[in-house]
Amino acid sequence: MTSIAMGGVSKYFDAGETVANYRLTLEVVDGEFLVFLGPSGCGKTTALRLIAGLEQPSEGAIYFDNERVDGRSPSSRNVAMVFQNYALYPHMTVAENIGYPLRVRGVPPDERDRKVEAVTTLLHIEDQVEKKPAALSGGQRQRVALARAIIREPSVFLLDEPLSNLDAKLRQEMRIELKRLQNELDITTVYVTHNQEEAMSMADRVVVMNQGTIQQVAPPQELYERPRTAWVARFIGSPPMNLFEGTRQNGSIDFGEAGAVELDSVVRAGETDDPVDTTPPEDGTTASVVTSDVQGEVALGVRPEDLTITTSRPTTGNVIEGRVDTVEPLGEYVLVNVTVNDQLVNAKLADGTVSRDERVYLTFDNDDAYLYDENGELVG
Amino acid sequence: MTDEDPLKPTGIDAGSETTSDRDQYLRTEEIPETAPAADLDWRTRIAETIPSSRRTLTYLVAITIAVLWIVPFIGLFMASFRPLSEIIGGWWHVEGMSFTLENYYQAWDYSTAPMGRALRNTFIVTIPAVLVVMLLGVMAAYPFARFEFPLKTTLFFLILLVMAAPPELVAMGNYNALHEFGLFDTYMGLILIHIGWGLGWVILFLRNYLLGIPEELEEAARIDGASRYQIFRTIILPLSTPALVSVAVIQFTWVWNAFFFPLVFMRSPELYLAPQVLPLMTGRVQVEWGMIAAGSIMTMAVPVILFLLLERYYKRGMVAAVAD
Amino acid sequence: MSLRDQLDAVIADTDRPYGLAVDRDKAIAIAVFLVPGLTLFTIFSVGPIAYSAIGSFYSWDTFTMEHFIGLDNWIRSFTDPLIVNWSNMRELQYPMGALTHNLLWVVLHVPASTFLGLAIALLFADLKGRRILRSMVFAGFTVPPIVIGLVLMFVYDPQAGIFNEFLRVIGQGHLVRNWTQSPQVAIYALIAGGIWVHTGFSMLLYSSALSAIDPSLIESAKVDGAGAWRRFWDIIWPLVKPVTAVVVIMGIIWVMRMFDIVYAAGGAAGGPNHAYSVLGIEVYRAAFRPQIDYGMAMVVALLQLFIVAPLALYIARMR
Repeated sequence: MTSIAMGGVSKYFDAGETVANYRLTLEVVDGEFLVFLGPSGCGKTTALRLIAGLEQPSEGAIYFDNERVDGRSPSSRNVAMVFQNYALYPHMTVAENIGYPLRVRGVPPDERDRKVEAVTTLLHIEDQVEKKPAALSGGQRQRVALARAIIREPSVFLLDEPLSNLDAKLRQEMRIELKRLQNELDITTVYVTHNQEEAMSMADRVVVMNQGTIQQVAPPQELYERPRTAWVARFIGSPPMNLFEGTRQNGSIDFGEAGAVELDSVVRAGETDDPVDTTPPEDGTTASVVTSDVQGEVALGVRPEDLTITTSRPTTGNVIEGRVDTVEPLGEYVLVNVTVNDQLVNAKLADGTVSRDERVYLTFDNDDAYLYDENGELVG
Repeated sequence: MTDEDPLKPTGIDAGSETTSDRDQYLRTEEIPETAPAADLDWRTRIAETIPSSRRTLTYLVAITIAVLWIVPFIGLFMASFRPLSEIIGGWWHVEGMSFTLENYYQAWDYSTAPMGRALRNTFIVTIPAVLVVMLLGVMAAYPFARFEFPLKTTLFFLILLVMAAPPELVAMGNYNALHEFGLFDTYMGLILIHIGWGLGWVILFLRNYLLGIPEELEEAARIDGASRYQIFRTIILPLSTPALVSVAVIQFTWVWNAFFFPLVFMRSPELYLAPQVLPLMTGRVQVEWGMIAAGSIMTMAVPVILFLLLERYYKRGMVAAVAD
Repeated sequence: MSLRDQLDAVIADTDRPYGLAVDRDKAIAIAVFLVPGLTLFTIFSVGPIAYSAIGSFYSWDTFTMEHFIGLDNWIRSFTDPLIVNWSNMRELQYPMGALTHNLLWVVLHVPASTFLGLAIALLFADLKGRRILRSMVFAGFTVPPIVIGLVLMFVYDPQAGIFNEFLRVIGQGHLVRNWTQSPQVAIYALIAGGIWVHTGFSMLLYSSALSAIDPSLIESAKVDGAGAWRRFWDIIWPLVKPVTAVVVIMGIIWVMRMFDIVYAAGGAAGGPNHAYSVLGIEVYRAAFRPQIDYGMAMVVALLQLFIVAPLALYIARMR
């Protein structure tokens, strides 16, 4: 029963030369499954290590419930952690590995054995207890690492890219099992990954990080439907969202030779949803401000799955013109790469009847468009 | 489509009409476990097992060199079991050879300093010197491998300096120091000197080894609730066992074989170490080859047997100590 | 929500220092691990070296330091014919002085044992039973050096020595002599013995470097049509070259420390009339044999260190 709070936490390395985390402020609710998602080097692992106590923050504070824990050693925080490479002790058997947290705490051997038996049964590795880690498969090692983490009923459960060393099939299985386990144990969990599929499928909320800072904190669905910045938009989705770069001009967005799109329609569409809770500093979010004759660089975001392609120019709706570059038939769908003003965008189609170098028209619904200002913030 | 050559490519379209899928793809059960017997006739088999003449020559040269290399030791070994007259005549004459243990008895009870006692003294000095160096060495190596602390670079430099220094350089200072402590001409004095002298390379060697242990394991242990000392005892020590065995073998050999330190610090004949006794045996008039050979064999047997038993650790340690 | 309030309070003064209990625990742990070992290391290794460095500038009454005399010990040592004997060097007569003998060891022993080590390592590289062959060549390195010295005396003995028997067999009977006791040739006999022992060590280092070479490199060279000679110069040699630096430097260190073998063959005098004395022997005699001259012993021992220290640091830098 633990909630975690980070307030203005920064971490610098190399005597301040490297900024790993900058002013992270974040709450993890009791029992929540929170995922840190970001590209490698974005500081997500450092954030996790700060919570674990393996690193101490350069500034800021970390609370577990009402207790301040920064400056304390990991052992006094009652956290458990699963490492990317599992960090199983190679000289101990599986049973010794799993029992280690209890052994260093002076739990008597018979009680230890009982608990080891219980968790190994829970994780279906009861047949492996006498083996050394080297004799186990990747999936079994993963389970041993999990067993070692949950055996002492930690108040916080930390996982650092735990599935990245497994093959695709196993990863999917473990994903489901992890989620189930977390539901059953109801332990506050912080999970770090660079794999968005993992993040989206397991998380209650996702923390998207880039360059040491938090880009967006949101439940998976909201993250997909309403990326707060152009960076998040480009990061989430596979393939990610297309961002058409254009200029705002007299109530429309001009894409040069590729055409123009009415600004009103796009922004109004955005307003039908909940108002954006992050307030861009100058531009404001209301349609009146946006539609005024301010000029500037903007990016119009449309997901590949929301684009449709026609070969003849439609008369109504939003139309952007382009030329087919390549067509990739992927079985499940066809990915069409289209050049729009030297920019390559993708469209996911059910079937691809277009061919290379054909002139095509990309259309999309108002509801599926996102507008980002020159700072990359979501406008509508 | 020809029938003469089944391996001739038929072209990508050829199969579509004339061969069915069943001909084109093999089922897994059809794959034999071993190569078909017909492919391996006895001629090729024999040709494969008998090396080429050039290869045979290489083996001959290699074995000759290796045997030549140990000829002096073979001579020493044979001399140790033969009476002096036969040794003078040449140990390589094997006809009419007689076998005697007289040389060993003589060396064992050698009047100035019996080898029996000298060997015991050598053990008394060597074993603690090795064990203590291992323990203190791995303890000191751990912070060197993992933590930053003041003067680390300076200490590092000093260790390198001591490793380069000849043992003669510390003899004068230690001679005066042991007199000061009242430890001159005692087991304890020599043991301490060997420990202080060996620690340098042991710390450096073990540090390099510890750097190879993933830090993640220690972090996992910290999360699991282990203190720094528990981590050292339950994670670091067991994981450095191979390196510690290398240290043990090499340090044992070094201390056992050491001649200069005992020569300087052990002055009473009752305390003489085995290597110290051997040059005394050369005598004045006729060199007692038999007794010297027997004493040498007894002295070298211990490190050589240790080397043969733990050869892998010895070699790996030697290479790592200088090349890593 | 109380958490929220706390957070706000914290954000208000984020740079408030917070007691780092972990750091103190860590510092104590580091001290506990380091202190016992480093104490002994300092007392018995670093201390005596510093003592010698300082003492080399003082005059000594046997074992007692007296007063500062500047470079006197240094000048006296370098002009002592036991260290460098200029007149004998001009006539190419032994003894030429311990330093000269040591340098002769370096010049003859080091290249020979390095080359032989590489040759034997290459010869054994892909043979079956190479472990046994290597152990046979290496075994001498594990034998006490004092025994090596006695074995050399035995091998070179005029009657019992197999080397003289070998000379007789090949019809060079007139060369038979007691090699280790003949002043003008003894040093070469001992150097040959040193090469015999030390080659095993060079071979071991080269063997491990050779086994680290990716076999696919050799195979690809074979595919490219390179003969054995080309393969050695284009692939093997460039890859084992860094090891050569280590082998050579370890050889120099070993030779500069030479003591036991010379002592066994020639006693504390370093052979008849110091014919093959080395620096280590001179230190021992100056420090622990009458006439005791601590100042000179310290200078000569420091000289040994100065010759090898830059090389050792070079190896350390290479890593």
